Amino acid sequence: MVNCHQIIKLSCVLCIIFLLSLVLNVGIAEKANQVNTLFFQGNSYYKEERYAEAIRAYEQLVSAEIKDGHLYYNLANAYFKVGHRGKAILNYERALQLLPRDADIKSNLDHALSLVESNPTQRPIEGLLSKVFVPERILNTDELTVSVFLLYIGMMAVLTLSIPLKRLRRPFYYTAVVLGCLLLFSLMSLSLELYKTQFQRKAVVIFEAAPVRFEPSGDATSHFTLHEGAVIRVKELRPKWSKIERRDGKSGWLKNDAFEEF
Amino acid sequence: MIRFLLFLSIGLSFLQSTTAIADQISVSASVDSKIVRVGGRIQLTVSIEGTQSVNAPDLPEINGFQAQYQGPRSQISIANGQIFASSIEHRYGLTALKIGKYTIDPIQVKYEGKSYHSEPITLEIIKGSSRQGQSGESQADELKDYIYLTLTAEKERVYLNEAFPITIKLYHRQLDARDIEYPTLLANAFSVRNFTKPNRTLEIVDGVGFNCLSFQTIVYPVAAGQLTVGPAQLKCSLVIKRQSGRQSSFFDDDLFGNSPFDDFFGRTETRPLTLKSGHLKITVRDLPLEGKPHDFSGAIGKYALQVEAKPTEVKVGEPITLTMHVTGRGNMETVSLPKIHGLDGFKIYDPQIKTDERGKSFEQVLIPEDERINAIPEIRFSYFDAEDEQYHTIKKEKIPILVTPVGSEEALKIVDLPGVAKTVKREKLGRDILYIKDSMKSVQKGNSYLYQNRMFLFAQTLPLIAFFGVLIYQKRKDKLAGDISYARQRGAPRKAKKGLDAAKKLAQAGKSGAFCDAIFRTMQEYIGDQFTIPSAGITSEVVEELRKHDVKEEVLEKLRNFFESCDSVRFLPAEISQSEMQRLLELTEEAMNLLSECSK
Repeated sequence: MVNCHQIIKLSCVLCIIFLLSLVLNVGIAEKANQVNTLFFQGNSYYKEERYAEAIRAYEQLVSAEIKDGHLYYNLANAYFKVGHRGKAILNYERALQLLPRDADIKSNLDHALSLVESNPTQRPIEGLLSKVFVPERILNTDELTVSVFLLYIGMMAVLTLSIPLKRLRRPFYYTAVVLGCLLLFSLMSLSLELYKTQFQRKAVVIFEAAPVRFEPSGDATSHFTLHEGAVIRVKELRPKWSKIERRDGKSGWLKNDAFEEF
Repeated sequence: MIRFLLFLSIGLSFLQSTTAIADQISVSASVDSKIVRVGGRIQLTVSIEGTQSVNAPDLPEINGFQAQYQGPRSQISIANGQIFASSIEHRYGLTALKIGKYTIDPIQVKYEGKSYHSEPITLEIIKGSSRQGQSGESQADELKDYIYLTLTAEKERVYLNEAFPITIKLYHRQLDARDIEYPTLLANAFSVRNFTKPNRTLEIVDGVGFNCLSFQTIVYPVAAGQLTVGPAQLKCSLVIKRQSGRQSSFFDDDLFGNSPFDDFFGRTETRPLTLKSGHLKITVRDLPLEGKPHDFSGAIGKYALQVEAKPTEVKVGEPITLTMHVTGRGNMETVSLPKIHGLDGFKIYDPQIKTDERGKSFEQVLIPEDERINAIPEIRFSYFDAEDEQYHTIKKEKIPILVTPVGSEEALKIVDLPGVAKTVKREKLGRDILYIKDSMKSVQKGNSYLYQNRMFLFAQTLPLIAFFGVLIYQKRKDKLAGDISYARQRGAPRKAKKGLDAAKKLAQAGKSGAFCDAIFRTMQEYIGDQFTIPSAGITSEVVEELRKHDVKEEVLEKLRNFFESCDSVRFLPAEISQSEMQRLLELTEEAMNLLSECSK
């Protein structure tokens, strides 16, 4: 009798969960439909060479906090077509962060960067550590997080199984050590990635020509001029001015509205 | 007998000759070194030529020295059975006592009533020093009469960047210098090239013969003004004889032995030596501004230029290699690419530069982009000659070339035959961005990353929980399998509950006998499991056994009561009431609870 009661209770709970998920899914599906509609609308405008309208449609999705590599890519293409190289490079970079192995994005980004006026390339903006650990151009942050998680699960599963399966304990230990090393490597790559996200923020100049000054003031002497599309590193962010560093290591103060972070 | 006659004849002839040369006596005195350190020793030798029959002469008083006679050494020369020379040397050891210059007065020798005198000798005693720990440089100062280093330059006035030779010479005599390293030259504001292989010569310096090792290098100043070159420094090792009882000195002539046996028997030792030369003052002038060609790029020296272009007949887009070879004497590092004026219509690549002993060559690839081009323009190379202090310009006339256009059909035609050159027009690829994507890839909402998701972070704890859960379960399982008393103790309450439930059913059915049997067996098994004793034999006597397990008296009393009640029902035919069965049941449960506490 007691068992019957328990079964009925459990069935009720499952039904409620199912109904809730159904309602939620309907909501999600509706939202996904809206997103897709707007995206396809942007594509249609683009195909008709109505780039400004395409940008507006894509930007609506971006402002609704929709993150998608192809969305950023299409938006970057539209900006490129209207001649906004800075915005184009910015969105290609954003797309590449989400889809780091996409050859089309890389190709378009390279092409856009090649058109940037006096873009110094003496020193890569990525440091040495980025080359040692898994660079961001192979896996994005979420993929790296998943790989860390999977390695962690794998290592723990092997360790857990080694407890009852005493005869296989030695091979399990060796497997756990290998997985542990891989986990450590992935974890360091992820840490580096997070460090770069937090402390080595990259940005793109969106003004046609932006003077970089010695001091955070409009009256200060101009050190050098950055052109639209130049990739910079934001070293210090202040309310109106930010200290930035160019690829060749030269740094100075740039107005905040002259650049946009990735 | 024959031997006796031989000795006799030698003795007679000796006596005869001695008297014959008695008139030709000479006396001389010499020392092995005229400079000695305080505490050092030198040897004074008084040589008497013409006779051996002279005793050791008394030395005059020698200030600053203490003399000690060491013994005689005689010498006799026989030719054709005739003695023609005899001599004797008396040796004295002189120990230096006080710094200063001293003279050994003439030494008087008396022979057959006549007096003979030696020449006076002047000696110098200098400050003493410990050889141990003496630096290589101070040793070098001490040895400067035997080994030294010189630094010379060909010029003392030069122009900026003008290359000139510097020579470093190592002079040495009577010394065995080994492990000679290449010298180092202190020359700030100068660029110094590597030293050439040294030359070994023999040179006479102030009438004294020296072995000379000459190193040469080329230097050029990189700053103008009054500059200093040097000193040069050279490291080597000196091989000296090892002496027992007395420390070796560089001044002791007899120490400079070169016998290979000395090396072999370890009688020599090697001492490192660092030699330093003097320095040179060099005046460096800036290049004159007067007459400076507009295409002058800093070359100093005396140069020639050869130019060659290959091939001279090309099609548009094909490369021509222009080789410009600058040869001559001077600072090749100042030689840069000769100027080619007016290369419009050519695509130019960075030149390849090669420098060898003969000069510097530049290979410049030129690609004509227009068939109207008919010559490589004039090439000019300007340099400053430091000898005549004039600027010079070498001009090479235009090199005629023939550029033919590439026909469209020719460019696409590839003749697939061995030995036939293939002509493929370079394809010009257009460049633009790639087209947009038709669909979205993986839509995400919000700006957060996966690692910021709370559910994801919570999921990290699940493997840990599983791990520790399995670990605890396995430990418990292992303990149950390995520890019987523990297993029995753990299972006792479950079994007791089961027994009591069965007893309750019997009580409800009014079967007092069976009820008593059931609770009796349950109690037996419970006590047996809790205290790890065989259950079957447990009776009321177990109370005494349990006393050993520190069970409280109150519990024992209850057990005794329980066993007595059960026995009275089990062994007597009397039936008991429901209330009595209930009492027994409560008594059993109470006793079991108390026993479980005791067993903990």
